[in-house]
Amino acid sequence: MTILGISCYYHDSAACIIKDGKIIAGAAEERFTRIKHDNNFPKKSIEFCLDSLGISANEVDVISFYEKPFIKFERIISQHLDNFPRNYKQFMKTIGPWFGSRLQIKKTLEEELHYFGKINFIDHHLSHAASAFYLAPFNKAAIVTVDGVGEWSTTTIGSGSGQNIEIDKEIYFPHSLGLLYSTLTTFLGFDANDSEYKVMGLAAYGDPKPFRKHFEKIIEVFPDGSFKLNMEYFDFDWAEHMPSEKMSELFGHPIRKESDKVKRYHENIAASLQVKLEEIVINLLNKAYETYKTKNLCFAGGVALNSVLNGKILSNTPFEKLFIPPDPSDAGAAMGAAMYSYTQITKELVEKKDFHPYLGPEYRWHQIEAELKKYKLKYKYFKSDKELVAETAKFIKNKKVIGWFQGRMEWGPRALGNRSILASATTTKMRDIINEKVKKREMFRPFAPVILEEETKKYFETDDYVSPSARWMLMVYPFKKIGLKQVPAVVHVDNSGRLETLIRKDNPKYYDLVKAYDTLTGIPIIINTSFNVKGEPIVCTPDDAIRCFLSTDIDYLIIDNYVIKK
Amino acid sequence: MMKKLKSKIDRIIEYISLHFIFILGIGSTFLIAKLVGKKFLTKNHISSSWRKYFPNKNNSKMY
Ligand SMILES: [Fe+2]
Repeated sequence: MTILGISCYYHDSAACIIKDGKIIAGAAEERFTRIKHDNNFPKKSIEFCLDSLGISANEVDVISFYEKPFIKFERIISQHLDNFPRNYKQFMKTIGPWFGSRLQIKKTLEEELHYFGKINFIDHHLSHAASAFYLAPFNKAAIVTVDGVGEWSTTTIGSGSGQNIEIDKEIYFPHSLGLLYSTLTTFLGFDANDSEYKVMGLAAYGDPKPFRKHFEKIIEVFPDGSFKLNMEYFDFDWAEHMPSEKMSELFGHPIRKESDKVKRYHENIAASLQVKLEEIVINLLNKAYETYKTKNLCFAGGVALNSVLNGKILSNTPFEKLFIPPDPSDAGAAMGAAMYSYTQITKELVEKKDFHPYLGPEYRWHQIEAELKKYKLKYKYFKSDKELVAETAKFIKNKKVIGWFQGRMEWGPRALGNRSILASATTTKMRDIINEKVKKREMFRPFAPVILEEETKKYFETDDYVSPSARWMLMVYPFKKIGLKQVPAVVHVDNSGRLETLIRKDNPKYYDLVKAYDTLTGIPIIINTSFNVKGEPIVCTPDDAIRCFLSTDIDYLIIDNYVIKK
Repeated sequence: MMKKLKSKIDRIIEYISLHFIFILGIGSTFLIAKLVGKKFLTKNHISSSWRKYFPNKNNSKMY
């Protein structure tokens, strides 16, 4: 039984393939097309998935799509009906593709893939729910999904048991926590569906108090855990811009332009937003606990990328275990849709015991050598992994910036050690060096620490149960004193860190590298940031990596066991 | 040359038909809805936003 999951046409397109219960491959389209957040039909991701099995599209048993297009279209038409005629511009801009391709999935699959088989269309939030529950290390759980919007739903609660997922309640568009966060993201001068994590980073600098009352006007919270946006402050239901003019009046400040300096009140608005989001989601989760009385929680949807919120869930709710999939957002819903169809059809669960997110493309030695030759690069080849990691650990200790390209690319938005830039975290200067040499990003954004999992509790104030989701950079925890002292480069302004915990089974070479660095320095933590330059997707191929290496001041590029010095 | 012309014509047809749908389809439905006081999105006063979820048993349907 081979199932191909697809998500596309909203933000991030992706594909994922499952064969006989094993998740074989998956990747986001942006990595192949090099268009950030590419939302087009994911032809290249699909080709990669099919190639991973050496099959053609017609050997796939079922294609599982991550939403029900007609129901989504119904919602979009409803928006237009409610907002006639001020929605004219938006209508002209957005409605064409619906008639062109978005309602014609079957035709698109026939034309693009010559696929004529069965197609499943899974409710969007059911896809999100499945993306978490079917990978979770428990058989029973409450399931909560929170995103921008799917078809009509923006939030759902339900439960999972064995092979069954049941959603019980939902909140409809336009009342959406994802859209609230995105609207404020644009108010603060960043891009929606891209830079929400910047707002999350900025929030740590601010004081939530000055704008607390303002948010009470923007969103109303009900005792039963649900909420309602005050649409006077929002225009996203009819216009391209998201906040209304009234929002500027409320805050007493104009919408920030990208080129404007970030001021104190921007930080405070971000802080208030973050606190409000946390309050609402924690309240919602407490209600979910009262309903389902299980100690386990699965959480998915774009809002589950808010790692600051995630780190506060277990300490503020009666839940004892938490699971968020490596990609809780829309791209990850491709995997959810595939797993849902697989379980429905076969009545069996997908294999999850050895699940890891390294599901993307990898490159063989001859492909790497060909690229190195093409760019006339001199390299040193290490026959043994042990020597390679020992040497690389020395580079890191000597404050060199490393482009680390290994094995299969990661599934999900984070680089988790196969398409990463690595560096020492022992001085705050390293942050400036990486920013200057490569990333050129906003100075308020923190870099993430990767830590050997067995050392986590020594360095972080974690919950008793450290979720496996921490392996995918989905949790933020406060550093303990030892961390503040030893690795200041990855300590955020509020003394927290968005850690990536590392176990050897998932990625032996990466683990051995951090271990070797620990042996050299007594510090089991280094910086891991994604291998890309500002505005580009994370590198996918050796060619992408080499181009990034040559256009920046990365000191060493290490592809597989080939070491290239600048 | 022919391809370019065809895509230009397609674009013009799309432009006209979108206006047609906008003015006649959306516009007239909007007017009728206005007369009977129907709202399509839930912006009215409510004390809970929860709705019961009705599972869609038929996975092969787009709706
Ligand atoms: Fe979603």
